[in-house]
Amino acid sequence: MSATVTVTTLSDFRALQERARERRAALKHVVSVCGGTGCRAAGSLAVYEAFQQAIAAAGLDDAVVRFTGCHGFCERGPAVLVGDQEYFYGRLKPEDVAEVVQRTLIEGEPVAALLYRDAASKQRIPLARDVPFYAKQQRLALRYNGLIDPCDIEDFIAVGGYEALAQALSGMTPEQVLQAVEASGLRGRGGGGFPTGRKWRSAAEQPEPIRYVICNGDEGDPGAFMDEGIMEGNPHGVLEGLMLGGYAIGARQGYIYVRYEYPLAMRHLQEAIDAAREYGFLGADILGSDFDFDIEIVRGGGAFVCGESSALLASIEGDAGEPRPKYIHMAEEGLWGKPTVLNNVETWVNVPEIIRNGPEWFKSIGTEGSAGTKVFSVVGKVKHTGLVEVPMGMTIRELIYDVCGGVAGDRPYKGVQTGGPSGGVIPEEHLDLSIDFDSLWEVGSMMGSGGLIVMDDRTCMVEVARYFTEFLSEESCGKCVPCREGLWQMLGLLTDITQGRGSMEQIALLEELAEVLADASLCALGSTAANPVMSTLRYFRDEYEEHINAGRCRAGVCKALTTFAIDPETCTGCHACVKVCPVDCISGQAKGKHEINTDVCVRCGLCRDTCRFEAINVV
Amino acid sequence: MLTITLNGREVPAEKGETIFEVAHREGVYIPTLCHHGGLEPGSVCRLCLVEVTDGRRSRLVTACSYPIMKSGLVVQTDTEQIARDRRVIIELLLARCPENEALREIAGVMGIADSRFKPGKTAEQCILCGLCERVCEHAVRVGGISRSDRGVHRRIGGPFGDPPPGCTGCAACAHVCPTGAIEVTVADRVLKLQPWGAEVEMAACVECGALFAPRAAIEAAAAKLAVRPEYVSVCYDCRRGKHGRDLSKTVRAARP
Amino acid sequence: MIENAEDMSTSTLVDSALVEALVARHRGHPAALLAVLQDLQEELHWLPREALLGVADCLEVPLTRVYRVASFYRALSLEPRGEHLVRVCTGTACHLRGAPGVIDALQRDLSIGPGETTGDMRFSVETVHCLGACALAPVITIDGKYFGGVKPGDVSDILDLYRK
Repeated sequence: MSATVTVTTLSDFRALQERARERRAALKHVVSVCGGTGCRAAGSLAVYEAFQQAIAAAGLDDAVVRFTGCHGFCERGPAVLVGDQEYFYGRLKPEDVAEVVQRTLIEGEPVAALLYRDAASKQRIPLARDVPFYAKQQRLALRYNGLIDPCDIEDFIAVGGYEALAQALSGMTPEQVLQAVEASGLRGRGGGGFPTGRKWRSAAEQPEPIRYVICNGDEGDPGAFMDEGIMEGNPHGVLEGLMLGGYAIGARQGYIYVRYEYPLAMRHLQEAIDAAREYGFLGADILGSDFDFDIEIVRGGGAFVCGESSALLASIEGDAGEPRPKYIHMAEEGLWGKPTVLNNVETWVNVPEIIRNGPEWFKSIGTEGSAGTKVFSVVGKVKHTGLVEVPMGMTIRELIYDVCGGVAGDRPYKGVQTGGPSGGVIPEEHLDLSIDFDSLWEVGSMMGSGGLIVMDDRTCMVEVARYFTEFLSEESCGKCVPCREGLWQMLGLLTDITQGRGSMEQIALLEELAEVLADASLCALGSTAANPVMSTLRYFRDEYEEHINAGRCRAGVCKALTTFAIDPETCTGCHACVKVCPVDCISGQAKGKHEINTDVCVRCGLCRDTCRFEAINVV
Repeated sequence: MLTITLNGREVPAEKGETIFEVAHREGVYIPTLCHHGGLEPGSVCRLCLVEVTDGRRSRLVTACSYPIMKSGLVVQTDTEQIARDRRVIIELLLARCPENEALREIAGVMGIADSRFKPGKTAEQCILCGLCERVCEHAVRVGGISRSDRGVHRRIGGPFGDPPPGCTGCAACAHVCPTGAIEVTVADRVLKLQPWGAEVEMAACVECGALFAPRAAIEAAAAKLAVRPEYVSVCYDCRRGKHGRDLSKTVRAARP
Repeated sequence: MIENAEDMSTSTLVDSALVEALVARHRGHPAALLAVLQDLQEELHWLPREALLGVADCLEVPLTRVYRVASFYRALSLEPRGEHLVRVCTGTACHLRGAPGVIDALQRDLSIGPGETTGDMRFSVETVHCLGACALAPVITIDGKYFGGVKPGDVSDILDLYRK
C-alpha cells in the first residue's frame, strides 16, 4: 500500500483520487477472492494464499489478488472472479489455482471444467454477469463487494468512494443533503421501512445543538447476514453514509453498534475508521470545510433485543439493553437525551449513492412506494443460498426460482419466511407477490431486515412457530409482563402441540395471547412476537389440527408425531440409508428390501434425507 | 394549559403531565401494580393501558408514562379490548405466582377464579415490578437492589444473590412491594429482610430500650446531620414524651 | 486459564493491573462497562466474581450495575468455561438444516449439552442465535474457527482436532 496522504482540501482529495485511480488502472491482472465470513468458513483463505503464491511464481508485477467482501454466491463458496471480464469460479480449491492463473489470468481463457454449470440448461457459463444468480441483481448497497479490498481506503476511493462526501462538503449545504435524501424516497432497510428523510428532518429541526447519528449493525434476525456482508465488504461506504448523515443533521459524533458475533465486520470497520482518521476523512475541518466528525464502534454483547432502537441506546449508554417506552421520538430525545438518528447499515450505505447520482436516479429504481433495491439473504431449503440485491418489486417467484435456482432437491415449495422473528410465512398462493414494504405487510408478514427463509414440504410449520417463539422467549429482556410471561406460556403451548399433548383449546389460547402481546407489550419484540404463530395459523391451520387430532406431523419433523417407513415398492436396496443411521435401526441386505425398526428409530430423518428414490416417508 | 378528553369529559392538563396523573386528579381510576406516585414510572405491568386517539390514529399506551404534549387527545381508560388485556395480564401473573394473596385478591375483584395458564413455582411471590429497585436507587439512594439476567430468568435482588450492598434496613422496599414479596422480621436485635438475606443490627432507644431503628440507619442519619448517634437515638414515642420523661438533658448532652 | 476442576474451589485471583489497563483502554468511561467486561473475558475465558468486583472498583460504577450488565449479555459468562468453546449456531437456517442433530451428536460425544462444560474443563458447548454464515448451515465455531455444513457424523472428527 502507498504511503498515507492526509487530505485537508478538496484539491488534495482530487489529487488522491487521481493517484488511487491510476494505481488501480495499472493493475492489468486482477483476481477477486471472496473473503466474507461464509467463504472463509468454506476455506477461501487458502485459495487466496494459493493465488498470491501462483502470481508471485508467475512473476506478474501488474497483478493483484484482492481478498474482498462477500460476493453473495455463498452456496458456491469459495467464490472467485478472475480478470476484468470477471470469469466466475465457484467452489474453487487451492490445488486448482495454478491452472486458473495460467489459463485464465495470463492467457485469458476459461478453464471449462471449473466453470459454473447451470442446472437447468446444463450449460457452462464463464462470466459472472451471465450467471443467473448474478444476472438479475442490481447491486447498489453491495456495489463494492467483490470489487475492492475492504481494508484499502485508496481502493475504495479509486472506484468512487468519498466522492459523495467531497461533493456534499464542497458544494452542498446540510439542508440540500437532507432534501436529497427526502426526495429519494429511501425507506429504512432495517425492518421498519420508515422514510429516512423524514427521520433526519425531525432531528435536524430540534433546538438542541448536540445530535448523534448511529448505525444499527446489530442484525439479530437469525438467517439474515446482509449487513454483515456490507460491513465486511464495504466498511468505508458505511462510514461515508454516516458522515453525510452527520453533515445533514448537524451531528459531530457517530456510533456503529456491531453485534459481537461479527468479529470480521468489527475488524474491518475499525481499520476503516483508523484509515479515515489518518487520511483526514474523520476529524476536524474535513476536506477544508468546517465540518468536524468522528465515529466510534460499540460492540454488542449477545442480545437480540439490542437491535430495538431504545434498547440499543441503553446498551451504548453502558447498561443492560432494555427497551424503554417510546412516547417521545428518538429524533427529539435519544442517546444521552439528545436528538438522534438511528438507521440500519444498508440504509446508510445507500446514502452516498443517492448524493452521487441524485435522488431522481434512486427513485427511478424499485416501485412507487418502495424506491431503490433491497439486499436479501436467501437461505434454507433453496439451491443457491447467499446474498442477493434486487430492485424492489421483483416477485417472490422470480427471486427464489430465477435468481436462486428454486427449492433444494426440487422438492415441493411450501412457503418463505420473511421478517425474522417479527415476520410471517408467505405460502405458495402468494408466489407472485411483489416484494416491497407494503405488499408483504398485507399478507401478514413484513420485509424485515431482508432474511428470506425458503421452506419445503419437509418443514413443519408448527415447529417453525415454536422455534421462533423459543428464540424470542430467550431473547426477551423480561421487563414487561405480556412478553416475559406471555411468550413463556406460548412456548409451553406450542411445545405441547409439537410433542403430542396439544388440544384445540390451546390454539384458542394461543390466539388470545397473541392479541394481548400485540396490544400490551412495551416494545416491538413483544408486540410482533406472535406474528410467526399467527401467520402459520392463518395459512397452515390444517397442520396444527393434524398434530392435535391425528397425532401426526406430515413434514416428519416433530419426533413424537413421526413414524418413518420404507416403501418396499420404491426401495432399490441401495443401502445408503443404513450407512447414515446413527442408531443402526435399518435392517436389510444390499439390493434387498430394507426396513426401519420403529422401536429403535430416533426420528432423526437422516435416512429420508439420504434416500434418492423417495422411498422413505412419514407414515 | 392544555385540554384533553378523558372518558368523554373535557379536562385540563399541564404540558408534560402523564395521563395517569391527570386521571388521578380527575378521580378516574386506572389500575396499576408497578406504579408509585413518588417514583419514576416503570411501565412494566401494563395494567394502566389506555386508548389514545390523536387525530385519526388510535393506539394503546401506558398511562403512567405517556406525556400529554398537546390539546385534543381523546383518552379512553376502559374499553373491552383493554379490559380483556388486563384480565390476561392478571392471569399471567397468577400463573407466575399461583399462591400470592395480593394477586388472588385482585383476580377476585376482576372475577377471575383461576388462571388458564400453566403455573410456575408455587413459592414465587415476586412479579418483577421493579418498585423495590426504584425506591432503593432513586428515593433512598443506596442502590443495593437491581434486576439481573433477562427473560423468564430475570430476578431482582443484590448482586450474585447476596444481600443488597449498603442496605441500611430502612425497609422501603418492603413498604412499596405490591405483592408482599418482601418480608421484614425483627428478632434478637436483628432486623431481617427476606428474600434478600439482609441482616441489620437494630439500635435500641437510649430512653426506653425499644429496638426502633437499624443501627446503620442511625449512624447514616447522624453522619448526615453531623451529630453524635445518641442525638438521633431516641424513639418516636419517647421524643413525643410518651413515657413522661424529660428528654432535654439527654438531647442536650448528645449535641455536638 | 482454568487448568483443572480443583481450581474452581478457591477464589480466583484477578490481576488488578490487567483490569486497570483495560479500563484505561476505554478511557475510564463508565459507558464502556460492557466493552471492559468483554475484553476482560477474552483474557480470563469467563468472568469470576473477583473480576466484577475489580471492574466496579476501577471503573467506579456500582457493583449492582456491573452484575446487572454481566448477567444480561449472553456474550459474557459468569460460570467457568472450558479450554475450547464450541458454539453451535441455532439460527433459522441452521435449525432447519440440522442444528438439533449436531447438538445431539455433541451430547453423545462429550456428554454435555448447551450451557455446560465437560468435567475435565476441556470443552464448553454453547448455542448462539445466528453466526451470520447462514448459507453454510449448519455452522459451528470452535475457538472462533468456523465449520460449515456440519453433519452429526462429522462432530467427533472435528472435536478430535482439539483433543490432541
